[in-house]
Amino acid sequence: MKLTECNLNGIYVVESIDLSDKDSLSKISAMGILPGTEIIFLQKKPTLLFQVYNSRFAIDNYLGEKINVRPL
Amino acid sequence: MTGFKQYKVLLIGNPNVGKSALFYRLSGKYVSVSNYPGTTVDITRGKCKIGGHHEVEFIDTPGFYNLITITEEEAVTKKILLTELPDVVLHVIDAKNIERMLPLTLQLIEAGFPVILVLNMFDELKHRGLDIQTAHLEHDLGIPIVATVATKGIGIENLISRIISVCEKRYNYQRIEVKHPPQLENLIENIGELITLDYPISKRSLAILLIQGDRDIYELIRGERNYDLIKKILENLDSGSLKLEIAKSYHQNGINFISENIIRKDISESSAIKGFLDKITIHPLGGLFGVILILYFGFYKFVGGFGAGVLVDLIEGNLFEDIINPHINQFFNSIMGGTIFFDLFAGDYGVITLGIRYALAIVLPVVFSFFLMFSILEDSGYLVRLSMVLDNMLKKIGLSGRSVIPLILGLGCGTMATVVTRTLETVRERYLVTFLLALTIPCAAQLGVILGLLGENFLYMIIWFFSILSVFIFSGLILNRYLKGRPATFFMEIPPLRIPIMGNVLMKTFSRLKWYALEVIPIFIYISVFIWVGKITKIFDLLVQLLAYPARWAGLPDKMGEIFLYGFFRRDFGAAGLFDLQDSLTPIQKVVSVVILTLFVPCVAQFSVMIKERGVKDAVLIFMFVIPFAFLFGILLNLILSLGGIL
Repeated sequence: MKLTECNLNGIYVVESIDLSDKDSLSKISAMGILPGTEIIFLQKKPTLLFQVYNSRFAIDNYLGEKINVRPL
Repeated sequence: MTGFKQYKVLLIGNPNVGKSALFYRLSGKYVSVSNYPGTTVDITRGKCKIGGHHEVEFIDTPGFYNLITITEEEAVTKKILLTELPDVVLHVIDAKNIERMLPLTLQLIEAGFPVILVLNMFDELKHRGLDIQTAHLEHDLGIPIVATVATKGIGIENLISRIISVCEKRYNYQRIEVKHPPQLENLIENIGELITLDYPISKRSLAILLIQGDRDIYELIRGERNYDLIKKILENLDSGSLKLEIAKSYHQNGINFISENIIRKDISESSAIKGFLDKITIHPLGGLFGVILILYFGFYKFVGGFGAGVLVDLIEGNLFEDIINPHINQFFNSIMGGTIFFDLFAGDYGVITLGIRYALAIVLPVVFSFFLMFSILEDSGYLVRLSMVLDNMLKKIGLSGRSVIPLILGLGCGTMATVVTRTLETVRERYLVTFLLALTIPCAAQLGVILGLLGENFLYMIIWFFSILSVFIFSGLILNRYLKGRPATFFMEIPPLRIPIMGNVLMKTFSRLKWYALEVIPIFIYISVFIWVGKITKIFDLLVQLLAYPARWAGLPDKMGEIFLYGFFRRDFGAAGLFDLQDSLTPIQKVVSVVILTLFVPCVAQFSVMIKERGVKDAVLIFMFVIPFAFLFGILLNLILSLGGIL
């Protein structure tokens, strides 16, 4: 499933990242998101909000759709 | 010769890790901010003497995530890393996010830089019930590691002594070797062996960057005799998936080091009030409510009421009008009275009575209160929340939440804000923001006069506010529709809310104020001279007469032509001129003229920065659109208000 479809406060593991857009890929890996990374999904609005390690990131749906996750 | 040994220390790291606070702690007060050659990215340098023998130059670089760079600012940092040959590279990280940031440390180690890892914000790590065994980690990585809390000055002494020992080559680096998966190692080795010349970074590191398709490194190795062969090997690689694999490898290496050195204790929860504020400021509705509160209390009450009201009255009224100006006029009258030179220094538009008076009495207090508020918002972590809350709405006009920062900064100084559009990722977004800054966003000096002029009546304010807002939205919608390119994407770290530390806020406020003063006060003086020349040569009279026509069509007195003309030289000049005229205006005239003046062309300084940033063609295009549009809108507003009988 995509990051945009996650449930609030659910814990997920990143399965894969869409490689088609290199700019997006760079941004996503700059946040430390890689296959295997754990993500706690926090908010859907006003933007997607999630926690990765000890940081929270806000990203838009465009980037969110490039991250594929599965529930832990 | 001074007898001091000179050293160079570079600070690099992600945004939001307290890098600037650390920089100010290390370098003291004497810093200089300058553009990196060929760009408008700011580089801050500061020199300081340590003991009797060492002089260290500290260089603060823009936010940096990875040696593979995305934004122009990152590219500048990389260039500095490769060209400045620093004696020490301080990699500053947010200690609680070591997992996320250690991959860059590993890249720097691999490249062979003299790295010191600074675990900043160590207190926030401890608040989360975590601890890092720094001595142990230092042993594992083979580089010096120092824990600091820059905002409170903790750990700085220790850091300085480590810096000196690295500078003097007394530290024995035993850099860990970063191991990548076997297939990748083979590839790295093959390419590394083809590189024969010497570079500021290791061949291994060059090979890894090349594999990921790094263009800067392609340029760097252009002189290699194996260049064509290297290029051929690289062309057959899938750099996208390799990029991911390499990122994964650094990450895994990092995790292995950290898992052995991090201690987790019972987690103490943060206070209930902080938690509540943290939640409410990023709630979709709560966040919007916050925007309204900030606009009302931050701008209307603090910048408008305190800055443009109390402070301006004090300096302008009590100091200049009552004490300084009469003396100046009397003095110049006695030595050059009656000649045209009297008007150069004194009188209505003199360098002292107008130029310096406006700069010090009207503009400076407003800009000061604005920058103070902006720095508080920035240091509390609220500004990024604002970006997040407004991202969705800004998307509709082709912008991302990131553009909130230049747009809000534009409420301080449009010139500075136009420079800051550099932090936006796409050219398209920079263009959109530059346009909106030129057309709609009033600067602090204008805002001060607008609030002074309309502030007594809330209805006037509302009409002005919604007029400008509707122009902002409509022009954004139209541009977004017809401008080529992809809309901007958004990602931003949301740090915890922090209580700003007053010393740091003041430091930032004053450094921004200094920039403004150096940039602005000379222009005020040139402009006063220019106006004087324009007046005695009668060129101005002609332009004033021309501008009086559209003013008349919008139901305004002819005198407004003069105000619009001065408004170009500095927007606030125009606004301040309006201020002097206010008693003779009807309510409708007041509102219409303030709306036109807000929309009217940006000041000379902003226009020259627009040319520099966006090129002559686009800058002139924006300019030519804004003038007729401002008047057309004013004429329309006058019609609506007159027919509607609202005022």
